[in-house]
Amino acid sequence: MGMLNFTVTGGEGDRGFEFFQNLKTLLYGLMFPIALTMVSGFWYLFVPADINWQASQLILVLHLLGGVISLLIVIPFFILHQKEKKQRLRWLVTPWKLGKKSDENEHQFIQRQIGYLLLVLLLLTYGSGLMIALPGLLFAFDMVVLWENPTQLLLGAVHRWAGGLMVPVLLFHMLWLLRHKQPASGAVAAEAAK
Amino acid sequence: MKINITVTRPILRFAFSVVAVLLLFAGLTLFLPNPGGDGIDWKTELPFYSMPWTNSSPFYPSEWKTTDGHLVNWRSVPSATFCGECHEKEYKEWASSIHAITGPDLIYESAILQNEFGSAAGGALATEKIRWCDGCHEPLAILAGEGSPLTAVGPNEAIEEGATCILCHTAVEARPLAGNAGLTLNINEIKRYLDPTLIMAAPEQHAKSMQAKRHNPMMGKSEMCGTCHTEIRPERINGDFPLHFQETFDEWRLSEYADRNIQCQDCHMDAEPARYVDALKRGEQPERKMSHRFVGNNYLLTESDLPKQTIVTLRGGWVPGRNELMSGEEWLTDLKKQQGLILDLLKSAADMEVSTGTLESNGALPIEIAITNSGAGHNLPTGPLDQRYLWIELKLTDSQNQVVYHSGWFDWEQGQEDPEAVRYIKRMYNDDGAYNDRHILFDVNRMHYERKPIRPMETDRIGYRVPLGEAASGPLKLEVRLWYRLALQQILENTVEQFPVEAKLLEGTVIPPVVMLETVSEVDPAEVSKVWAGSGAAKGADHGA
Repeated sequence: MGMLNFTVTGGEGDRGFEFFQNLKTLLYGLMFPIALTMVSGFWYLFVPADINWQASQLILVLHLLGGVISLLIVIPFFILHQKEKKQRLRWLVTPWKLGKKSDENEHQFIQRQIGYLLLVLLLLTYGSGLMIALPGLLFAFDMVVLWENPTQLLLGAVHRWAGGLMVPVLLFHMLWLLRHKQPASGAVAAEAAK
Repeated sequence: MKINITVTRPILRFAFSVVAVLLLFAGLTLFLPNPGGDGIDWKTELPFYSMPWTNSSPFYPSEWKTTDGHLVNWRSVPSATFCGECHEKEYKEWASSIHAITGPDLIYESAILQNEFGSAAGGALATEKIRWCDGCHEPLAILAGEGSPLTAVGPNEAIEEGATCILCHTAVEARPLAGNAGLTLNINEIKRYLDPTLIMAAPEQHAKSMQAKRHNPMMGKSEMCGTCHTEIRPERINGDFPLHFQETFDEWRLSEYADRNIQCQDCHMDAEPARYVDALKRGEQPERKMSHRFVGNNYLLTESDLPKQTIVTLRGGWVPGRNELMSGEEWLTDLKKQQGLILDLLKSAADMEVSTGTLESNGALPIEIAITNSGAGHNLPTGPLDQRYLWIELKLTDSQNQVVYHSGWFDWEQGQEDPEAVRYIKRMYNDDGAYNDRHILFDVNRMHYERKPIRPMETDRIGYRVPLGEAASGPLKLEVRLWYRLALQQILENTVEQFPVEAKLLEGTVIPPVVMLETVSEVDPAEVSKVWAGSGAAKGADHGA
């Protein structure tokens, strides 16, 4: 009926092997904290706190909680995801390793580039977020350590811009459209071949 | 044409999560109780609050306004000590400044009580009239509603402080030409965080609430300072017309400093103001190194070499936050540093040139002293000119160290200078013509400058004709000094009357002057060849007016 054909797929998880099941579980578990952190961050940034101060305080607390929880899930997810795709973290500092490989097609190559871009944005967002939150954490233990004003401004700018760019990059990375009709890669392909 | 959209389950979960979270936040924003400001509505909560002249401003005759029109809640207003828990550097700088003690300062307190209870113009509304003074000197007290015979203000550390952090840092509008604390504060709109750690989690919100300069450029403009450094007595206090007592902002506004966009804060909120002034004199305009010391002119209330109890008594007590944020000894040491900065700034404010003319046939030596206001962005002197004043000392001694001529001497026993000295002072007179030298501003009827203050970048020339007699033949030592003094000795009489116990500590105390500029040279009248054209009407040993 109509002009729209909407399909939901479990993707490579349909092949069902344990490694990928763990990865998928982590990914599913990550979606809500990521959504919570992103939405709360943008809400705190764009919705004036004066409208409802109590609500903005609660949203700020949820942003911090969401950030911490998503970070705790992102780390194991990232480790497994890199292992699955046979990528290396150190290739961030050896960019010549990011070039197109002989055995990968155009879409895989683009996905890999976007993946590393997403990794950089994740590092910047979480890193700046932790640094912004650090004085507050230390204050809870009666230590007063504040960033200098220029540093504070820089951290805030990095956090906002990296976090903002991360949303479209993440969505782009995850959209099945890019994987549609592409051969499986890495460990999944090996498993499927058995 | 068909549009095919395929998504993975994680994407779908993400999308649902986003929608759910958005709905949650919208619900929280719309339905969570949102307490309003905690200001005190004097109309409903303080029916006995006295407002004899206006029914719209509870702070009049001071010009304070709050955005909600309410009084400040004395229970919740934060003190500088509270701010200092995180902003330790700014707190320590402020604690040694005069802003920290604009209210508790004993000399001020004595003058206020004298105005309130010892003046002719005080009368039945004296307590309300004091709002005019305390608006700038004890601002939080007035904002909380203390300026009323029946007051409902309890004890709060912040109320005891003078010009404290929360005042400037909640200012959203300034009316400097109205003066008398013409600032509008959104102090009652400032909300409390669930926990102070959340301030640090979102520091930009805190910066915005506290009017950081990048959010409110007014914080770096002279308009902020001008609201209190403009003092105009309204006719409701006394008299038939407003009297302008302090015009520092206007002096700046009409100067080339305003044209060059050099603000009060550039000099007075620099870490080394004298250095900044020297740079300005060289034609540079360096970037300011920010400081909350507010270096000005009060070298007396930073004199930590006075016996400990004396300086503490004069300042109205130990530093707030003593033993929490800084020890008493640390504070006394810092006062010394503050005094050094003040004296350096005073010295950098002006330049002086002395020249002598040819000995006249009647044996008189013409001497001209030229004082240039080369460093101050306002008149020299400025502020309450009935008390802050300059005078010139000129002394000639012969080779046997005998005094040939001495004008502008200072009696260190009595605390009085030569009554014939050239003085830059504004004399105030009451209705009955009596000279008002104790800063009882309520009773002032008219004012007269003995010599008008020197405007920025202008030079005042004072001519002397000094009769030398027999000393005319030999070389003479010529000493010229420009003295600055904070207050007339008579102002201490207020303390004797109002605080007799504390006044015992001040027995024998002379309000000291300081030398701003000094030259010592040798003059041989017989060999001087410069012809002095003279200026004005110098007469005999008198100086030109």
